[in-house]
Amino acid sequence: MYSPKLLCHLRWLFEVAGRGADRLSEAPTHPHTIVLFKKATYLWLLFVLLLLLPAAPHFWGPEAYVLALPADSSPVGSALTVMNHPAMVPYWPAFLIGQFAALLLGLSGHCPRLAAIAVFFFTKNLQARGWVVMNGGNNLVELMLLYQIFMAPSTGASRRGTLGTLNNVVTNVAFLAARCQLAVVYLVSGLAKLEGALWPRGVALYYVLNTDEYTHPWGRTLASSDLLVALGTYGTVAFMLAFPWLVWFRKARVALLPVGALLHLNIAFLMGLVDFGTVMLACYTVFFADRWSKAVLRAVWPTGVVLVEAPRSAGEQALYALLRALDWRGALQVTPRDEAPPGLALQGPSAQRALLARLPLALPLVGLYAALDYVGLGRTLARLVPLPSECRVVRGLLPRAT
Amino acid sequence: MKTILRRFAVAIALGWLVWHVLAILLHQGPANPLKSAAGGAVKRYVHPALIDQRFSMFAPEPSTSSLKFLYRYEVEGGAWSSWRDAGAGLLADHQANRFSPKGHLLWMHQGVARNLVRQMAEIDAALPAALRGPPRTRELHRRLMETPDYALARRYVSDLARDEARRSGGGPVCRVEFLYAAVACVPFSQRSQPDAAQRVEYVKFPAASVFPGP
Repeated sequence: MYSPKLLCHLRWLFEVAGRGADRLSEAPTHPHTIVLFKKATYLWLLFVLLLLLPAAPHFWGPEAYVLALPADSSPVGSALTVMNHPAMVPYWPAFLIGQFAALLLGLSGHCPRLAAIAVFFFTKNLQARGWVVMNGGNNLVELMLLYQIFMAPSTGASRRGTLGTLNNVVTNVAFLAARCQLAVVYLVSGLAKLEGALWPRGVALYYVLNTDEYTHPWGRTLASSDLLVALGTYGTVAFMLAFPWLVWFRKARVALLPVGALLHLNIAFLMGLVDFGTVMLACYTVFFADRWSKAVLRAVWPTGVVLVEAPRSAGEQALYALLRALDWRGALQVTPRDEAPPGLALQGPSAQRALLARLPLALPLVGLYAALDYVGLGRTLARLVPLPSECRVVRGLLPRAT
Repeated sequence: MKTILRRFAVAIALGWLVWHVLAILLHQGPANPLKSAAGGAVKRYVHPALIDQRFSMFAPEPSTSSLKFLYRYEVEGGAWSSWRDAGAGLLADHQANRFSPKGHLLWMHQGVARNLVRQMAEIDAALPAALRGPPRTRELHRRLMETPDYALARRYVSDLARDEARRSGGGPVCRVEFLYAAVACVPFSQRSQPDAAQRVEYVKFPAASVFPGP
């Protein structure tokens, strides 16, 4: 009745599906990419917050030139538009401070789930209040923040067992949802452009670059070339229609992401939609292979410090205890000399004593570097102005996510 | 966790993902039989507060005209100023430096005008067809002036006018007037014609006494 060949195919299909299911439930498939994706999104939000800060009262204050939309009546909606409630209007700075604190918490890597919820809450409220100046990029980031709440790529022992397995499943599927979301944006956008009047005729870019508010003097020069206008218009549509399919192939992705980055940099600087252009770049990190993300994280947020010898004297042990108390992320290790990685090792007790003596001097400088680390500039500054070794050690112990 | 349960959890999660992607595709996609069949469920699922997918996210058809929001003011004594474009300075600053809030201030400036025009169109559509000519315009203006959008525009323009009058050493401002103008790009087909003119469409809003302020 049943063909043996069909049964064989079905068995193969079940085996493949089973292996896929096991992979999704055993561990987060892209732990480093998730961390990088979250950090890129938080950095973008921090950038926009700092960009708008000088004119913040115009967008969010009691005298803002933006009409407050009525607060959403649903339970979830009302929590996410609480800033629109007339009673909350005087407290608008609290939302900015809350957003800033939530972003720093998220960037530090502590309490990732709590940070993700807080960032989502404050972002939704701020964007709902200043809706007139928000664009598609803000819409996209709201969606990505929602997916990020469900991504917790911890691989520690606490994540084993039933809860750990469920966490892995939820994390991996939320991560896939974020990838699908970006693909859907391009697919719908590409199809909508095909339905329009200007894109199929190859002249859309001419109008974009001749509209005052979406152009730059250089843009008008580019728009005077028919060839560039046609290439730019058709190239944009072709990219948008190709992205949702090709991005799933790793080799194609290597070419696709830089092309997309170029397109969005044009949108950011030529068209002047800086936030929209750059948020797309931040969201591209969701398509990074995990080893790319690991390399980026190591470059921007270097890992901790290794003590080559165990502390022996009472003073060394006291110092070690102090460092352990500072070491929230487990960056401090004690390792035999022959196993110490180069560049991260604090050699011997003498260095520890030196550190103890100069700790009060080192801490303020380290604090500055750590603050810059949060916005991704610490390493750049460290290249320009190298830190003394004891500062490097303390800095290595400060909270950072890897 | 047992393998069967683990695989069941994965199947449930992937099932949700498939539904989620389908729902947002159907929500944004053009009308089709599938959308008609699942329209109600999709609409309920794509919660406006959580996973709203606004069309601006998809960068639709570009605008073919530049939006201007102009204002003028009357100082005590009855002299009206010339029409001023507060957006021009913001635009120049934004083009000179993309890393400033001027771009967002420009969107806000245009948003005030855009919302006012949209409000006006809605009121106009709600007026009876039999009402025509000057009585229709009067009724349109009367209703428009009662809206929060008009009140916001009046307050915004009053603040601009007061600043401008103070800078230019004029007297106290008593009335303001504003208009929305869409300056169309030269059509692509006429781009090389030296005498091609830019078409301008404008909507003038009723003048009002200045909004009280400092």
